[in-house]
Amino acid sequence: MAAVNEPLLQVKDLRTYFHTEAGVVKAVDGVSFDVRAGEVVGIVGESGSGKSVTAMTILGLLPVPPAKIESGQILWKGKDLLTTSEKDLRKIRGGQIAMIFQDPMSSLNPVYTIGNQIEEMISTHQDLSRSQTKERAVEMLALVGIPKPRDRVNDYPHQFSGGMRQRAMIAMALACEPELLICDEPTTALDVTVQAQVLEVIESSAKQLGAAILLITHDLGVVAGMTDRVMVMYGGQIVEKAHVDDLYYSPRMPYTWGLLGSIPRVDDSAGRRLTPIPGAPPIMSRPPAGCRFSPRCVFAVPGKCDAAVPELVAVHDAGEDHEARCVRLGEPGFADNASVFVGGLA
Amino acid sequence: MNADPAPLLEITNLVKNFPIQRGLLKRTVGHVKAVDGVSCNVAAGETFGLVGESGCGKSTTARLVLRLMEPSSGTIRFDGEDISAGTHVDTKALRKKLQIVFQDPYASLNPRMTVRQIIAEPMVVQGVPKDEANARVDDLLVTCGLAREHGARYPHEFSGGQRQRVGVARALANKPKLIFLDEPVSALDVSIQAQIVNLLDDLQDQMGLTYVFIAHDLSVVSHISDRIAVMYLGKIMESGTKDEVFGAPAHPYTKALLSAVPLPDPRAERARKRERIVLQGDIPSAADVPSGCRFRTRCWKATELCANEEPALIDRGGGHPVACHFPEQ
Repeated sequence: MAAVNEPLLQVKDLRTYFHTEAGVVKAVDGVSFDVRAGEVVGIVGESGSGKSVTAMTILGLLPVPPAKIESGQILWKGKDLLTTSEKDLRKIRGGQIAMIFQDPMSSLNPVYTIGNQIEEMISTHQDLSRSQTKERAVEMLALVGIPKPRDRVNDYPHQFSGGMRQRAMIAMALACEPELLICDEPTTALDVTVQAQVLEVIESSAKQLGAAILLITHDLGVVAGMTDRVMVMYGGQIVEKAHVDDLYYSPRMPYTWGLLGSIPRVDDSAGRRLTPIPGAPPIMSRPPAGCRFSPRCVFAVPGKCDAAVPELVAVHDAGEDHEARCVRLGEPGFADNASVFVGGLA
Repeated sequence: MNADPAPLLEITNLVKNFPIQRGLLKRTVGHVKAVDGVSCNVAAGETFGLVGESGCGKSTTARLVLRLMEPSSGTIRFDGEDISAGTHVDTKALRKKLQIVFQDPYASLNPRMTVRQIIAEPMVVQGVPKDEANARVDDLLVTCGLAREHGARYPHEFSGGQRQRVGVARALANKPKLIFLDEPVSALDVSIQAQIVNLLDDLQDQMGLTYVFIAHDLSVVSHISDRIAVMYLGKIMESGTKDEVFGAPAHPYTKALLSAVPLPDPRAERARKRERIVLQGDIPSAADVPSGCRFRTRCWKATELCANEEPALIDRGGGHPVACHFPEQ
C-alpha cells in the first residue's frame, strides 16, 4: 500500500511520439501530473491536443510502433508502469485502473451477452465462484441503474440503448472496484438527457467505491460540474493546471481564456458575442516554434513567444497549485487581459 | 409572432412516415413516424431554432421542406408559394431561395471538386453566366473568411472549420432567402465552433438572411436563435421566443433538457446539481410512439389523462404554445 499522502498516479514528463511517414508526431510532449486517491481530475482540450493519447499511454494500450514512449515515468503507487511486464500490467489494468471509452457500441463485443462481458472482467481479476461472479455482475448492473438487472444481464449489447450500453461499460469498469477510473469522453456520443444520467451514475458509483476519476473531455460544462482539479491541454502539452474554481474564475493562460470565451451559455439571455480563438490548432507533425499556442495568441510577442517553449510554472499571485505555461505570465497586469475573452464570466 | 401577416415559411401538420417492411413480399408491418404533425412559422429575418435529441425528427423536417424527401402529408408555404405534400414543386426554382448547410463538413463537399467548383455549382445549375459566377465565388470566399487563393484547392486541404465555411459559401451562392443550418457546428472543436457561429451572425446582419438553426446543443441554439421550438419524438412540445422557452420553460421536457445542460461555471453547477432533473429511461422508438402524450413515459408529472389524451400545442396561459396538460407555471 502506498503511503497516505503519496499520489495514486504520478505521470512525470511523459512523451509519446508517433513515428509516421509524414514525420514525428509529438502527440504527448512532456506531460506531468498527479491523481490522488478519491479525487476527480479533468483533462480538457480540443481534438488532437493529446488528451486521449495520454490516457492510452497510462494504460499501455497504444500500438508500438507507430507509437513510441520517448521518455517519462508513469508511477502507479510508486511503481513505474512503463517498465512493468505485460503480465503484471494486465493485473493492474482492469483490476486497479479501469477505463471507459467514448463509443460504447464499439467497446462491447456484440456476440457475448452483457453479463458474459462483465463476468469475464471479474473472473480475470478476482477469485470468485461462478455463481458469485454472476451475482456480482447483476449487482453491478443494479449499481449503475439498469432496470431489472437479473433479466437484462442476459441481453446482448444490441438490445441495450446507447445510454444503457454506456452504463454497462461503467458496470464493467467498476466491477473489480478499481482505485482509478479513466473516462475518455464518456458522454460525447450521448444525448443531453442521457448524458446527465450517465454522469450521475459515474460520479455516484465511483464515490460509493472510493475510486478516483480521471475525466477526459472537450466539454467545459461537464468538467465544471464534476472535477476537483483541471488540466488544459494544447498541442501535446499541459498549458494550465488549477483547482476547478481557479481555472474558471481566474484563468491565466490565453488559450484557456479563448476556450472559455468560445462557449455560448444556455443561461445567457443577453446574447453576448462569442470571442473565438483565431486560426486552427497546430498540425502536430510540424508544431510551431516556441509556445505551441503563439501563432493563434493575440497577446503573442514576436521574438519572445516563438523563441522557446515556455515552462509550466506556478502562478504565484493565484490559488494553490495553479500552474500555467506562458512567458508573459509574470508581467504586471497581464492577467487582466482575460477580460477580453471572459469579461462576462466571473 | 403568429400574428405576422405573411411568415416566410409556414408549416402545418407536416408528417413523414417511413414504412417498416418485413419478409419476402416486403409487407408493411408498421411505420416509423419520424415527423408526426409539425406546425410552425418562420418570419423573414429571424433565426428559428429547432432543438431536440437525436431521432426527434428535426433534420427530417428540414429535408422535407427542402424537398430532399417527399412529405407524407401536411402543408408547407414558402415565400407565398404552396410547396405542400403532393403538389408539383419546381425544386430547381425552390432551392434557389431555400438552401441548407449540413452537419458533416467532411461528407458534404465533393472531394474531386475544387472549392471554386463547389461554390460555383449552385450558380451553374441556375444558369448564372460563368464570369459572373466566378466573380461571386471570389466575393463569397472573402465574405466567409477564406482567401481568394483557396478557391483552387481541394476540400481535403482544409480543416473542419474552413470546410464548413465553404459549405456556408455554397449555400449563399444564389442569394437564398432562407437557409436551414443542420447541426452546422456540432462536428467542430469549441474554438472553431465560435468562429462559425460569429460568421453566421455577421452574414445574417449583412444580408438579412433567415435561418432555421437545427441543433441538439441547447447552448448554441440559445445563443443564435430569436425563437425556439423544442421537438420530441416527431412533434413540437413547446415553442416561443428564446426568453419564453428557455427563460420560462413550461413543458416538463424543456425543463429537463435545460436542467441537463452542464454550465461552464463550477459554482453554478454545484448549486444546480442538487436540483437537477434527471429523466429516467430513454427516448421511445418512433415506430412505437406512446399513447396520449408522447413524453409521458419519462415525465414525472404524468397522470391517466396524459396516457389517454394527446395535449395540443396551444397557449395554456403562459403566453406561448405548449403541448402539455400540466404546464409549469
